[in-house]
Amino acid sequence: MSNRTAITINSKFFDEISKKIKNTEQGFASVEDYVDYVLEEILFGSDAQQNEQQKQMIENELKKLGYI
Amino acid sequence: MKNLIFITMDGARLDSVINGINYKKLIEKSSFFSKVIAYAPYTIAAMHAIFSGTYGNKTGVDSYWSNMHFKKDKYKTLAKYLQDEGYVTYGDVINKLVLPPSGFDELVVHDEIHDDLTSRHLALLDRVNVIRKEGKKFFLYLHYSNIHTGIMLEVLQKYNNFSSEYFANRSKNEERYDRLFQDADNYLGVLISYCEKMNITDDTLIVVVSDHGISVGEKVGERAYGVFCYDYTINSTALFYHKNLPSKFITAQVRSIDILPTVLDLLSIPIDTNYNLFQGESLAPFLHGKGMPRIAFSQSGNPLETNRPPEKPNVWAIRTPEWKFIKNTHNNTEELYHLVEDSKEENNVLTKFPDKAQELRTELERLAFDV
Repeated sequence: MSNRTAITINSKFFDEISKKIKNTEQGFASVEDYVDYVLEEILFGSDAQQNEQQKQMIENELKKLGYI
Repeated sequence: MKNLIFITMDGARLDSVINGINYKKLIEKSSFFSKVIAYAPYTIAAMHAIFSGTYGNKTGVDSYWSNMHFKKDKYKTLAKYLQDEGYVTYGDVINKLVLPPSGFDELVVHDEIHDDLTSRHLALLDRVNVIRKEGKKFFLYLHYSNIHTGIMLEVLQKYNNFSSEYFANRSKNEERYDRLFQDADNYLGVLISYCEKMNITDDTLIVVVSDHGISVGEKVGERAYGVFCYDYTINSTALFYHKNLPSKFITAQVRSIDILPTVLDLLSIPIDTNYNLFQGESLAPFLHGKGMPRIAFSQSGNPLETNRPPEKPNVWAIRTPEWKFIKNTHNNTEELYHLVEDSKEENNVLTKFPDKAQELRTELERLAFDV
């Protein structure tokens, strides 16, 4: 298991995730597992990579226009 | 009139526009609006607002970085309106970031440094004239980018927003701008003459806009545009030319978001209720001596000490015909100018007129948070 650091989350989210993981087919063992999964997707998933690529494309175009 | 040629004179300042030899000839036979307040003082956000008739804080395009956030399913663009009406649609642009591509059959990017825009655009006029003679309707968008090109090469790449060498040489800056504008004015003269010679003007509405102005050194901190919301950049212009339209020079304050509704009105194209209604309103009443001045909202992105525009607007402004209120969210400061007495926006009278400031602050925040 990777090193972990404790943080707090809004109780509303904790309760909602607790309910959600009872029914999920992906088999989350805990709220921590679920939060890890969501953060992994946001930070390193395909959407994040696509956004990063788009941002790089815009940066290149702004350089061509002399704005950066 | 059934066809549309829409020309953007990128970076054309009001004071140059009204004195350009060819511009003046065209203004004399057109309905010309001299006080069109741009949503943003830079092309990307300015043109998305013009094409959608809606401020960028609602459409998603409120910064140099946000063209990919344009809500094309909610806001119907000029090109999409025309395409849905059966127009053949073609655009020639400076860069793919500047216009929403929705509705263009073809949207081509020119090389602003190497292409000869005059001959390139004359060739496009020949092309649409063939379409016209076949009885089809067309929409041609032309972007004149060479004022930008000169400013990019001679100002943006040479100075920063605080270069003392730049701001100490106002006359040199004006000479540079005048030289670039002269070429723009010549381009416009050649294109309009050609349209008239080929009788394209018989059944074609020609719209000529400037998207924003450009600094010649008025305010330290802005060597070109896209920083502040002062009039030398946000006071743009719009011109509607067709033999059925009156020749009028209209000085009332209107907004760049009013251009789309005006074009739809003049071409008798109905509003599509499947989309959000645009915020702009047709300028047609002004052509018949009616119409009231309109309060305008603008946003810009001050890069401050960096050479990188921010991802969200940090300068907000509201302009009435008499007043301008500015909120700089990057440092939580405010400015109030009484434009009637202070057209150069040099005397901040915020503390002198607290009630007026509060009135405009309330309206500014209403518009800024109306997303």
